[in-house]
Amino acid sequence: MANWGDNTVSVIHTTSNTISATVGVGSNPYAISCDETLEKVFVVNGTSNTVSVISGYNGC
Amino acid sequence: MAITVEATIAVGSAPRGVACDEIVDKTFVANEGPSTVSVIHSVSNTVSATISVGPSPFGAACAETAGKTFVANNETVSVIHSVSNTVSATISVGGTVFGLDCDETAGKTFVTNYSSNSVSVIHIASNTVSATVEVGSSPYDIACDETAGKTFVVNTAVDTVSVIHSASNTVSATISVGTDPYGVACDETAGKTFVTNFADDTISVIHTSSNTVSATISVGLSLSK
Repeated sequence: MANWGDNTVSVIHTTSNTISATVGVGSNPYAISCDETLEKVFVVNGTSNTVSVISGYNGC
Repeated sequence: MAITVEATIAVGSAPRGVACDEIVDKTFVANEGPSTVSVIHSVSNTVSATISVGPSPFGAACAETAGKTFVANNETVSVIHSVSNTVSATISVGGTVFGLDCDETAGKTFVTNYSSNSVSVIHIASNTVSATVEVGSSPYDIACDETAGKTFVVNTAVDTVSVIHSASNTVSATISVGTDPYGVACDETAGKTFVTNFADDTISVIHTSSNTVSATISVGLSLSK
């Protein structure tokens, strides 16, 4: 889940409904998509005009 | 292995939507400012192409099996041939559009028409609008659960989620969630649908099969999606 106001992404453990990690990304993250095969998460940073690529997470 | 940011990639101005196609190893990013889509090679984290689309693109979604990527522009949807990075069709829909998602099992792409309180249903194979479904006020994001055969639409202005039966294009339920909901995503394995509530800084967890809110999670400041 992208946290638009504090420039982070929270990783939610979907079974337990708890936040398992928080990762800093660029400014105003808008949207996220996962490549489960490559185990990468792509985060769009709406005002820094970049995409952050998150790895080390095996499950979208 | 720790969760880290392994790369930061420059794209166009005001990037909004993003969608990964795992078959072609591409990630498509809709840039609202220049009305383009940046194509990222997902393995190398580099931009391999930039495609001109319709005005003010916002949402993006890949129909991987069909080899198509759909981009929601202002009042149209651009269809990108995912292999060749070319626009193969432009489809008129109803009003300002933001979100879209593909149900490849049903062969449909669902598009939210924010200004006309409806969802346009695009037949993926023919690139034509096959139905229009009335939903709640100001529908924004949308997500398909192909396993359950349901499509969830966030009605931002009225704090509800409309559940569309994907096969019949009918609304089967309306669920109350938190305040100012914007984003939605389905975990088909867990049987849960997650809705971000911008004003509450919470997530409503919907039990997908019963259409009921089973939990509410507090998260960071000002959720997007």
